[in-house]
Amino acid sequence: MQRSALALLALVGTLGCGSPIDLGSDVIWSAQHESGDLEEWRSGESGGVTGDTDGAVALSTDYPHRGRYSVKLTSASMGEDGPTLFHELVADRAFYSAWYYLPEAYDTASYWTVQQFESRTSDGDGVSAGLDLRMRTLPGGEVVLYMFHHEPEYLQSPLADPPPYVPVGRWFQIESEFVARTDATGSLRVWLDGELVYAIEDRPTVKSETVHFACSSVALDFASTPVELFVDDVAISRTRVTPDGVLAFD
Amino acid sequence: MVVCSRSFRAAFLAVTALAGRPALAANTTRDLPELAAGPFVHGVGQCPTPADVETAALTRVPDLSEDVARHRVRVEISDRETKYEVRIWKDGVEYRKVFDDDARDCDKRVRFAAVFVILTIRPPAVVLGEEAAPLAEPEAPPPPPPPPPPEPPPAPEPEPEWTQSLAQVELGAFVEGTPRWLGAPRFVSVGGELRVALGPEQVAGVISVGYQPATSFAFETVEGDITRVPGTLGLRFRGPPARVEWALDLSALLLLERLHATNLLYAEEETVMELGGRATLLLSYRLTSALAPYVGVTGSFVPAPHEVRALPEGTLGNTPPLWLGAALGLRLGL
Repeated sequence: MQRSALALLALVGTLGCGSPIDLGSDVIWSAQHESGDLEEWRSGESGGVTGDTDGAVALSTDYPHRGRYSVKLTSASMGEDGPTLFHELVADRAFYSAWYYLPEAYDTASYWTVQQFESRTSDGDGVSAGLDLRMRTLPGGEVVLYMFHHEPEYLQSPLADPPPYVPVGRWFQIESEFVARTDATGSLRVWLDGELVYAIEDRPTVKSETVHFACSSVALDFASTPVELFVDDVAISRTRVTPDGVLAFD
Repeated sequence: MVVCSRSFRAAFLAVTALAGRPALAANTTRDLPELAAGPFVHGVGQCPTPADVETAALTRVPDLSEDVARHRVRVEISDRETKYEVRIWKDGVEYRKVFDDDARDCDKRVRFAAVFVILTIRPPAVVLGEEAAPLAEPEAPPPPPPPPPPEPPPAPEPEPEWTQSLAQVELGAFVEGTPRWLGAPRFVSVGGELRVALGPEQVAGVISVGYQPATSFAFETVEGDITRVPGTLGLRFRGPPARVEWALDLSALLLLERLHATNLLYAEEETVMELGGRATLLLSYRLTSALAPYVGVTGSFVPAPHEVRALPEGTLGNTPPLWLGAALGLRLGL
């Protein structure tokens, strides 16, 4: 009798408390790096790695965001060709999310580009610079996030008030809603750890319909090198990822 | 037989009132029986006896025998249980009167018959003359006959003796919904249901299956639809057979649910099974012994609802743990 009751309870548990219902996904593309390589970036012709000299782009288990691996971008020298991971797609409007980790506060006198929204040139051979999300060090030592538009009539946006400080020693998320337009209807909104910090609109944001999205560690004037920046759980999604979002279910 | 003058007067007045009615018939001499010497009141039956009637008539009007002889009068009394008939032949003309008397009050019959005989042999103008002064004392006019009692309302049709059929098949529609609470989005779902209750007693078994076509739902960012097939197995508790009956179903609930996202880039469809309980209270009204429409309310509880999730939102919530609804349908007793 007792055994029957236990069997019934087990059946109820199996039927009534089964696996969750997965309705699907709005994630267009993601790189979680749990395969232990950079295939998610390199597969196909829509992505890749640049500036990977002397192991500047490498999988690391030092500071994984979720899972075992993250990507360590090491800037051993200064210049515009720092380590960069990119993915290209045609998306009129999408959310671009990436998690970053700064092991320590590095001093940089001018800029440190960590996220880029560019576009493939019309002939397909090159990339037209667009909008950058950058970091720099304030006199007090704080690191702030700011926005730079490569079009001459826009250039650097005013620093947000209050300044969006970037934390050191813990993972933080930068998520952007990028509306890619060649006319004056494009926009970019940026959230830092879920807080909206920048919003620009009514301007052209791309030169062509192919968006070139990149996570990078490009700087001109670090006070000292090498500089390490960790990147993980990068995603392009039709809906906001948010800091609580997940890119895969267990 | 002694007849008091007050009773006799009352009989006189009653017979006087009746005298002009059509029930009093006068015929010709065709069927006049042959007269014979002796008593002039004849007949059969004991209530009244012819002798009592003759005595009563002659007691009130002692010289009535002269008129009997002069007008060749013959009277016949017939006792017919709840009626009695008085037939009088006078000068070859027949006068006849039938009186109703369910109570068979023989004294009253004697009085009424005697007065009818006197009034016929010696009409009121004669009776109320000098000789009949005692009878003709001025009296208040008789009260008008009481109005006939109002028609009683038609008696209600007797309530048939209701019985509980061995099996009851119920086919109906229902609407179920759940508010946005306990992690579930708001749902409203319409469906149909077939239910069978087995057993004629006040506790019976009940089994049902339903179908609720796709209805939409919306979590914060994810929209979709859900199709449900609920099945129940349980007990029905019901009141005694009557025109209006109640029934309470307490059942285990087995739910098959198919969920499908409608606004995700990569939408999936999943079918799951959920277990719970359902209580349904039904109220039915019998049109016939076998056919009864019903209405009801229902509540379903799923203690362990499934978690619902999507990427990149993660967990969106869960399937509803509580459903409330209403039902409408038709019951057929077999």
